[in-house]
Amino acid sequence: MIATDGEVPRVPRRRRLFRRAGGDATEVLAAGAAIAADLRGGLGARAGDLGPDPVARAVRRLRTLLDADAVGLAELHGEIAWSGRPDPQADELVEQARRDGHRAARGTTVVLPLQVRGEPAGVLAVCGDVTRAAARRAADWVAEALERGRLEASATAAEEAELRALRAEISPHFVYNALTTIGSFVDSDPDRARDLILDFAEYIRHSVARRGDYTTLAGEFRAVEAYLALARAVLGDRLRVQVRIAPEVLPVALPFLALQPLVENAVQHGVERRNEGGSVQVSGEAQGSECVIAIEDDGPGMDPEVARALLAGAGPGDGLALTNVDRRLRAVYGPQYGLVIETAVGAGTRVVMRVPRFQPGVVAS
Amino acid sequence: MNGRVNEARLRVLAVDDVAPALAELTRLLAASRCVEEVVPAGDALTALKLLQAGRFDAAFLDISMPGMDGLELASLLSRMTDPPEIVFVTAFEEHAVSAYGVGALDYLLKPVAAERLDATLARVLRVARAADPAPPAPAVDELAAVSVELGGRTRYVRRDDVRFAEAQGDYVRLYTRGGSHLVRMPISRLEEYWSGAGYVRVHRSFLLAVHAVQELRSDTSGGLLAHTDAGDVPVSRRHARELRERLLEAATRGDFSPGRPR
Repeated sequence: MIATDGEVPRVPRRRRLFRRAGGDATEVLAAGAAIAADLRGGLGARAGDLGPDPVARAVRRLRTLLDADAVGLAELHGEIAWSGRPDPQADELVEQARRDGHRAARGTTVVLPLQVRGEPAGVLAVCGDVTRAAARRAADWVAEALERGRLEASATAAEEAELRALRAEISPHFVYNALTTIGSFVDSDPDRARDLILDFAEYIRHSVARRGDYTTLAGEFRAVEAYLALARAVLGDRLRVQVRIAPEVLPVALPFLALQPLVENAVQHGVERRNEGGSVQVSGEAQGSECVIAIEDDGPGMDPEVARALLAGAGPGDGLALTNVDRRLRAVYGPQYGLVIETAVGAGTRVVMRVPRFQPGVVAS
Repeated sequence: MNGRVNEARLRVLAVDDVAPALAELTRLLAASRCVEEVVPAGDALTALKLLQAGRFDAAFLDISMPGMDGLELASLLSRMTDPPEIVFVTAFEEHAVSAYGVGALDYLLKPVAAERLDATLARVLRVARAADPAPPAPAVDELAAVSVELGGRTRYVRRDDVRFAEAQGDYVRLYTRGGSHLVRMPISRLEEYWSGAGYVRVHRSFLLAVHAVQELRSDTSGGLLAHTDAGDVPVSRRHARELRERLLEAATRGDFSPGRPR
């Protein structure tokens, strides 16, 4: 009832506005932007983030913009999304254009092929008193919108793949060292070998976990402890570790592998590369509504400029863990929640991570 | 030894299609004091036959097996009269949800840690005992205050003030913020009384109030310490996981939020 009341006066008024406005730049640009947004998911998009039927909405907007009797959009196969009443011969012309890949026109109907990245992707059909130039411009606009949508989708997919790749990233160097160490204990200290195998399983399980995107700090610390137990076995006295955690932050949800790679990084850079070894301290505590986690080593440190470049993603390849954790934290919590690196040459490195103790939408699985 | 009258011991079935995994699980089960007999089965069908032929207190089932998998086997078992308790043994935590869906008592992650298995077997024992019309466990609030001798006078120490207790021969020393008190009682007995009130055994000689923990500290040797305002308590490796789980539960309940009495 309410919907009908709302729509009856609105539709004609809007159409009148466009007709009168003619070339009103603001209106045309707004309509163009809306059409491009509707077509982000491609011509085959169904109900989803973009609404119940984004293609149908795009077609309606195109018809209004062109002031045509009917406008249709179709992929190379399947149904045509029409708005308005198409001419009887329109379907046949659409088929012809789909088949030949050329413009097809008869009477007041014109069907234009759509090229996306040099490949035929579908057709735009326009019926009514519309100039050739206007129809061609509309077709170009739709094709460009489709191309942008495709680029966006592939960029998103690349980003997701990168995040997934980071999650699965296990240092082969570490894995072989750990296995070699466990092997050496099998005869001399079977109980220790057995314990280390359990730690190894915990480490691997956490690294390849496929459950939701978030874990608890307790879960992340469990993986850190398992990693440290293995690292201690591998490095012996060279590695000195202290871990301190306040129980109130154990349930805090955070992205999988937000902490553990930073600890691995500290051990690799702060301890492993030095003959005399070094110490790593990890702490987690509550500060008001935030949880503050710090990872500190007394290793060689680095020029703060290098640290800045690392976080900007421009550093040497082995700082990948820092870059990736930083990016994921920002993506989840917002730009103010990136990593903070306190370091100087010869002064060790301290990486500080702050996460909100409660964040809507961030729930450990 | 003491006879099986008060020392209930379990007859359990172990099922896994991977021979070394089955051997290891059987070995771990057999090594436990709670277990009388372990029967291994290399596939679900063998397991079914064994289960129909004799009574088991618990069945430890691998989930991914060819033919009939552990979940299917469990749902068959749940239709038996007097079915055994089901414990899943799985490599993937993802399976936990479906495991509890078919009424499993617990699930263990592979490879299985001996201390984790002990905790599971203790649960099986508790369930088995609860099924018997056995004498009821001591009421939770017994020993909410402990009498201590101080300068020839008897005083009471409130349980809620005790951060941890340390075994000293036949005595336990109760640590509060204000000091410590010696009480003649074995620590195992105190544990029995206080385990329902948030106290957990973290070491052969230490019983700890979960809510009193201010920080968990682990050092180079891998040793774990629980820091309280009455001092630090060592946590042995075999108790570490349970303490962590208890702390997580307590923190999730909000037991450590500021303003709550400690």
